[in-house]
Amino acid sequence: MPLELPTVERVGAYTGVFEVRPVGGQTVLAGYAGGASPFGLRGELLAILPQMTPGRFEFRIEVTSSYLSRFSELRGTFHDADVLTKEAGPDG
Amino acid sequence: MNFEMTPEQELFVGAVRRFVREEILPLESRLDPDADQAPAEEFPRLQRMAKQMGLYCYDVPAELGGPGIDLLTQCLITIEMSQHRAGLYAPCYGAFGASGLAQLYEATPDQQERYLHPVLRGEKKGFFALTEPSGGSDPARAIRMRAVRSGDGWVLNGTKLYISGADGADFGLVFARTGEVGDRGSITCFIVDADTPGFRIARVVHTLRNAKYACELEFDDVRVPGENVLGEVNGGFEIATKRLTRQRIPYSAGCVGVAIAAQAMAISWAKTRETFGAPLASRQAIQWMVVDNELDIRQARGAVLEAAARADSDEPFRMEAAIAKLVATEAAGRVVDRVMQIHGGAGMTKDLPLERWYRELRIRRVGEGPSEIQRMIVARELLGTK
Repeated sequence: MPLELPTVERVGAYTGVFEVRPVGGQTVLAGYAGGASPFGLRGELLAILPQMTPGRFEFRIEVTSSYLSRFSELRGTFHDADVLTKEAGPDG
Repeated sequence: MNFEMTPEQELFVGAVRRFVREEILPLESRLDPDADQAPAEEFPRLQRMAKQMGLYCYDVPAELGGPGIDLLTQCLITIEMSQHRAGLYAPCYGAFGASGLAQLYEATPDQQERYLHPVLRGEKKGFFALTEPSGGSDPARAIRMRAVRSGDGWVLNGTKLYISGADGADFGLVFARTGEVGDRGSITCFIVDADTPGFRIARVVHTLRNAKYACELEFDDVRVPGENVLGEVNGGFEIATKRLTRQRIPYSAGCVGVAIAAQAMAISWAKTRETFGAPLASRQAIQWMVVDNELDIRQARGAVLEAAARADSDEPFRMEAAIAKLVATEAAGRVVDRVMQIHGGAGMTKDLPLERWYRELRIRRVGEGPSEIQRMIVARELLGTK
């Protein structure tokens, strides 16, 4: 989905993980919305939105209560790719 | 049995209790409710404090560089260390170190140098791979992974499932069949380096533990040198069960600690929360739940400490370890369930640690041998059956 305000505003305030990439490109950002994330995935995506040029990025989400282990899995997947990872939540 | 604490035990327990109250709980309130690691900038300070207490690697024998504390005292310490949100699987966020894989205590000096000591220094990580898709509770029959001699080494082929900590580990203890199916004396334990060609993590498996996942492992013509056999060829079953039996006791102690913490929450909530003009504590329904909690906790604590005391005195403790594991894991599950009920809606939320304990305690009734296996062990001891 395009990383733009109208689409992000439709994301639920769930716990889960997300990935961001340039349109058609590789993942450049992965993060999670945990139990302490205000407004869940929507809140985390809204927080990064100002740093992203409108129209140039897209995102995907997975709603899951296993957000930490799934995030670890995503980080492992991209371990060798010099990917910027973001840790959302109170320590993020 | 008399479990009155010695002055030294009181000292250790008091120090850990203060550490949890003054360091861990305030830190934890700032972390994600499912976090199992302290922030990198905080961890060295916590670890330093644990070392100053003389309790770093508190479950490691003195001859291997640990403080050489007996199992009973270890259990008393574990009960304190686990009394926080992450306490069941990440007591004090690992500040007190870890024994790593206790099976390596049986290793040769060369193996200890290459694997055990680096683990104790925090330089290497290992995993324990017994369970397979065909099962885990009956390794004599369930293990399908085969190890075949090749030159002066071995070649392993097969699959392991639900293996914790394999992703990112440097090596693993892998149990494979070196003889006939159904024969306990035909299993061998191998130390397998994770960078060995043919070894790979096939997939990760997410569980009720949010912060950690399990792995499915594949071994495709994995060559292991002969010097990486742990113990004797065909002696793997003994290695697995001997340490598993002992490990069940502190494993159970952690459950007791969580139950005690949950009970404290129940008592505090019952005294302050009012319904229909009176505190919950005045309601018989709540009183009985709190009493049932206390019965569960005291029985579980007694069973754990009795098993530990028997192990310390070099008496047979297989049955006592099974009873401790069975009683403590099931009792703690019931306690947390009741405390959630007492807390009502708040008990279901991630605002409180109860839902995390509820999920993680459910694993404890299966991990390290399910309740049914513990009952089998006790039945065999009582009836002399096989």
